[in-house]
Amino acid sequence: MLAVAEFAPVAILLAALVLIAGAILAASHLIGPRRSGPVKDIPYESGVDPIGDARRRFNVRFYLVAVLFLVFDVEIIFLYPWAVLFLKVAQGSIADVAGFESLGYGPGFLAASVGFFFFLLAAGFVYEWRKGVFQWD
Amino acid sequence: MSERIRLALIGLAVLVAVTLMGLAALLSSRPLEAFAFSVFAGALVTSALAIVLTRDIVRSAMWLMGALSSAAGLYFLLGANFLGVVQLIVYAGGILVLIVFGVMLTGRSPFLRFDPRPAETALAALVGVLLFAAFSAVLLGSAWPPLPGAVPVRQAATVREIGRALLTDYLLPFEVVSVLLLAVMIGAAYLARPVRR
Repeated sequence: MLAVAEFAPVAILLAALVLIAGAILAASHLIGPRRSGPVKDIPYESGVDPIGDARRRFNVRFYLVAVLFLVFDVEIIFLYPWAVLFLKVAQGSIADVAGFESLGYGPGFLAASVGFFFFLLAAGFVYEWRKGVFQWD
Repeated sequence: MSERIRLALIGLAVLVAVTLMGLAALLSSRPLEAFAFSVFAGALVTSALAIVLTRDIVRSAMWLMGALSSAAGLYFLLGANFLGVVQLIVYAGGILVLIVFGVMLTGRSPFLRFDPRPAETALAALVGVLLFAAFSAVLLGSAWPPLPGAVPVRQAATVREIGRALLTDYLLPFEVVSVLLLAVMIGAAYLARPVRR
């Protein structure tokens, strides 16, 4: 029971993406010139010269970046249903949730509840910043 | 086999597969959904096979991204928008990054490869067959009541309902989640703290 009309733009975008990406890759493989040399074969040609191999063990601090990314990733998940709800409540059109605002769940309440959520994470971020976690030297 | 021929063969195979899916979908009563399902399911099966068959662990992780994204597509097809978004953001976005970071942080050999022993392959096959049997038993044993025909699933309404539940009945767990995430941040900073000399 999919609402086809809602997803038609997404489907068109996906199809265009796949077609264009495939066409560009195929075209550069088929008609692109092939000249190789020691300079052309380095990972960033015309860029910074690589130091050492990419396939080695990395500093554990990169892991901290990954964990921080995950934390804010999960936060975004919780913002999604909140944002969908907030839009409707702010527009005053939440007819299908009867008595929602009369119970005290107005736009101010929604903003405050997610604001506290956001505040705690921002506090953690500032704490790490002040602790010098992001200083690499 | 030269690269161009291999490339042309891959492109041809994909074209043939998509055309066959389109023709098969035309036979269904809802061709668009049928076509989208075949595309996502085909991508899922292909990626899953590639995960198992490739020996390079980073390539395996990249194929995992294809498998997870295709599963998200199937969720969207089912009208489970929130689940699809969670699948994309947490699994395809987050967990995959962690896997690649895990390789970056632990890889000792220049080219990390899977080289399973025959006993390991047999064990994995056994586990796979058992899982398949269990899932099939559940699938075939469940009753699938027909949906009442004229009731469309309201897409955004489901996400909104989750938001409503999260901010009313489950407000305390919602706020406690932020405390948990704070603990994760501080714990990660403690574990990866710079060594003072």
